[in-house]
Formats: sequence, structure tokens, C-alpha cells
Amino acid sequence: MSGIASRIAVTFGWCLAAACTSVQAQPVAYEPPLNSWLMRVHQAARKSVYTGTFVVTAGGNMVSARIWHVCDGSQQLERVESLSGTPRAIFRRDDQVTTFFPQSRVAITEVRDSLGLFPNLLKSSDSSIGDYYRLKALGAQRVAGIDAEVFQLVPIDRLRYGYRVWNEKKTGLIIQLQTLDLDGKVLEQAAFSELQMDAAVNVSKLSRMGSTDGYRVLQPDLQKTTADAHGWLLQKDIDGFKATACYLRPAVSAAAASSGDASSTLQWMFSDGVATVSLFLESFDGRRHVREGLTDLGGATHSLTRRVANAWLTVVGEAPPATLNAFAQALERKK
Amino acid sequence: MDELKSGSNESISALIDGELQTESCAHVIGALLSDAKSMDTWHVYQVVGDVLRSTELAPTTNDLAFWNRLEQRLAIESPRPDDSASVHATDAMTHSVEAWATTGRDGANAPQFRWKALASVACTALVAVVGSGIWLQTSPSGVGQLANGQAVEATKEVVVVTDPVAGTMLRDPRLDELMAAHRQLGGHSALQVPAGFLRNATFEGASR
Repeated sequence: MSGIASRIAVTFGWCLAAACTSVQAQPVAYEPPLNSWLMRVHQAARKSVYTGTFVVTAGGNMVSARIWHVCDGSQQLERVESLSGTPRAIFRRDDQVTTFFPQSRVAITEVRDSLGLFPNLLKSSDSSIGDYYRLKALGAQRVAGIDAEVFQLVPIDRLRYGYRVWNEKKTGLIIQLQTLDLDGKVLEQAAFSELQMDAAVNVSKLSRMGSTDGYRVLQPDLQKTTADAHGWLLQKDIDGFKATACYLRPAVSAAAASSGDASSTLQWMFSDGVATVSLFLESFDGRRHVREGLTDLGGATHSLTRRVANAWLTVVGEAPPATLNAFAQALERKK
Repeated sequence: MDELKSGSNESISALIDGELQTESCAHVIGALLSDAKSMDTWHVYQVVGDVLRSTELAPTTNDLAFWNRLEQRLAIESPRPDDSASVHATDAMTHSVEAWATTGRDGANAPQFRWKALASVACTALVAVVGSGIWLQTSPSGVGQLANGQAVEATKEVVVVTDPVAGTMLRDPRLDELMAAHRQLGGHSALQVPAGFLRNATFEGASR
């Protein structure tokens, strides 16, 4: 059937593209300090105006989205419209995020505190990104028709993955990002397949796209809390990872609620400044919680499950399995 | 009939893919109606298409592994004398499933299904022909983008069976939810804007 041929062709094309991007770039002399490079990346993301198509490939899966990003004075507006899977559009105004599901006419609005953490994370004295990653300049390369500088974030230990980053030459905007496993192989890639810098984006029109008129608006019932308040602690720190937030989520799924399992889930998050790990804790249920161990979810994300006391722990993160296991082993009930 | 005989499989495939011109389309549909074997072929192609497009219909490694384990277990367990009826029933089920898997045996309502399905093929072909005409007339500059979108979607269809995110491992809805929760809030990254947020935003949603 002709459809299969085109799919194979596209897959082959991506493999070829991935192979091409691994070709050594031209060397550059300048290797900026890690923190100033990160700050430049962040500023570029805030101040740039662009539209493009963003493609994420992980574990053999490929999803794409259309992006509009503008900076209107002090605030950022962004619209991400999925081209794969469930039709949805995500509208972001700084840390206010609304996800629209046009088929069901439902909009989920939420504040993502994490979006405001950077660059404060970098400015704070306890920032340790530089203690666990070093920056290596790889040279110049052309990506999606744009001149880019290529850098690699090299982890200093085996508890985190490395990253290869393509910055737009003039602004520093990240136009391609690869997550590398412990042997340097590409686990996951996020990249613009097409990008227009300084595109003529109508700010007022983009703002109107964030209107929830005609949608049923839902807000996730998240409660900020602490792990300590719920009797949990890490008896041993995992090198470089610091607790960043903790939330209580009432029964996450409609399925869980309908099956009578309305217990809440605790989500305790950790970050080393680049990678994030979430610990999910819920009441142990012998009917559902039967399989302990690691699940390879493809790409850079892994999950690990384990029973701890009377709770069921699921660790999810963009980190090597050993890191997730270290979290799982370190978690314990307060005595 | 001639067209079906000369290249039946290709014609049927082209019909399903909406690649036939209106005249050929009507001709092939007419020929299909009068040829039971071609109808079977058409049905098999539809099932193949469904499997490629649907995660629910696609057998995952897990399903096959379960089936293999079940067969091994059945082979090990010797039938008890007073269990002959259930053993026969099991055998019958096994044969039935094998026959279904290999030949796509028709159900009792197959004739009714055929008519409905044939009507849907005709509609699909019509929509494809008319739709492609409208698209080409109204949006010549967007053809590349559409093709790109289709290609990405098509690729996803193929990889969904082997996709570790969604397929070959455990397709656990609860884990999907936790993954989504992690991606929604797990943005404490220096590389997070824009690449991290866009990565998560591009990924999330399907399981919400």
C-alpha cells in the first residue's frame, strides 16, 4: 500500500537527518561560561519573536506542533498547536497556561510556577548546574536553514544525561535540543523543522487566541504542600538534585474516580537545574499495583515503581534508571 | 471486472487510499460488488489499515507475549477426564482465534457489514477526490505543509505499535497520567524555555 512507502520514506528521512546532525560541526574558539550561556539562552527565549514547526522525536515516536511566540512588552505570549494526536492548542501568557481541546470544547487553565523559576534558579547562590555539567563548544552548523552554534552540556557523573544544543547564532535561541544517553547516543530530539525569526505575528490576534469563550473551563485541583507534611523524606540526597515543589493531586483520572479509587496522589519534584524527576506517591492497592521495577518509556523518560510502606511509589524522570532507583531507595516514611 | 482481474490488489489498495479517479473508482466499486474474492481482499486491507491506525486494534508485544504464555500453559496442563467439555471449548476457541488471525473469518453479520463498509468506502473515495480537488484549488502554497503534517501523522501511525512511550511496554493509563503530570509541572530546567516547554507541550495532551 502506498501509505506505508511514504511512512518508511519519512522515517528514513528522519534517520538521515539525525545522522547528518551528528556530523562534526566547524570548531569555534569561544566557549562561554556555563551560566552566562544559560542566561543568553533564556533571554533569547524571552525576547525573540518567531513562528515555526517544532518536532519532538523520542523512542521511535514523533510528534509535532506549530508554534507562535511573541514578546509583548514585558510579557510573553505563545501558542502551541498540536499537529499530532489529540487536537489541542496550548496558549501561554508567561506562566499562565491554558490548554484548549476543541473537540470537547474544554479548556484547562493552570499556573505553572516552574516557568517563573528560571532565571531565579540561576541567580540564586545554591544554583549547582555548573557543578554537575560542563559546557563544551562544538562549532557552527546550519539547522532548518538557520546558522547555529552547537554546544554540549556534558554531565560530570552518570546520574544525568547530556545535552547537545543548537543556538541560533544571533540571538542564542535554542532551535534544536538532543538528549544524549550515558554513551553519547541520541535518546530524544526536539527541534524546529521550520523557523521564521522576527516573523510578523499579530499580537492582538494571538491574544484573542487565548480566549476561553465557548469553552468549559476546568482548573486542575492542585494543592501546594510539602513531603514532610505527609510524612515522607529522602534519607539520602541524590547528587545535584534539589526538591523544587510538592503538590497534592486529588484522584488524577476519571477512571480512577469512577472505579471508586478517589485517593489523592502526592507529586514531589526534584531538579538538578536541567533534568527533572517526579516522585508520585499514592495509597498501595494490591489489585492495581502488581509490578515493581523499571519501565523504559522510550526517549529520555523512564519510570520506576516500588512499594514503600503502605504507599505505591512511581518515579518518573528524564534521567538514567540508576538515578530513579537512587530516589526510590532513598525515599522512606518518617519515623 | 477486467480492471480488478488485471491488477486487483493494486486497484483495491488504490481505492482504499482514495487514489482512483472518479470513473475508475465507480468501476472498481462495481467490480467489487460482483466478486466475493475481491471483497475478501478489500476486507483484509481494511483490517490492515485499522490495525496500522489504531492503538486499540494493534496487537502489542504484550498481547502476543500473553497469548504465547497462555498457549504454553495450555500445552503443559493435561486435560482432566471430567474436563473434556471445557478442553474442547478451549481448543475450539484457540482454533477460532487462529483462524480469525490468519484468515479474518467473517462474523454472522458479515453481509450486513459488507454493505455498510462498501458504502463507507464509496464515501471515503468521494471525500478524498472532492477534498483533494478543493485543497489543490484553494491552498497551493500550503501543500508542503499539509504533506508534512500528513507525513508526520502517518509516521506516528506506524511507530505507535513499536513506540515505547505508547506501545510495546505496558500501556498503563495510570502511568500515562503520571507522565502527563510530570510533563506539566516538571519544567524546572534551565533549558526549559523554549525547548523544554515546547517539548512538553508538544508531547502532553493526548492522555489528558
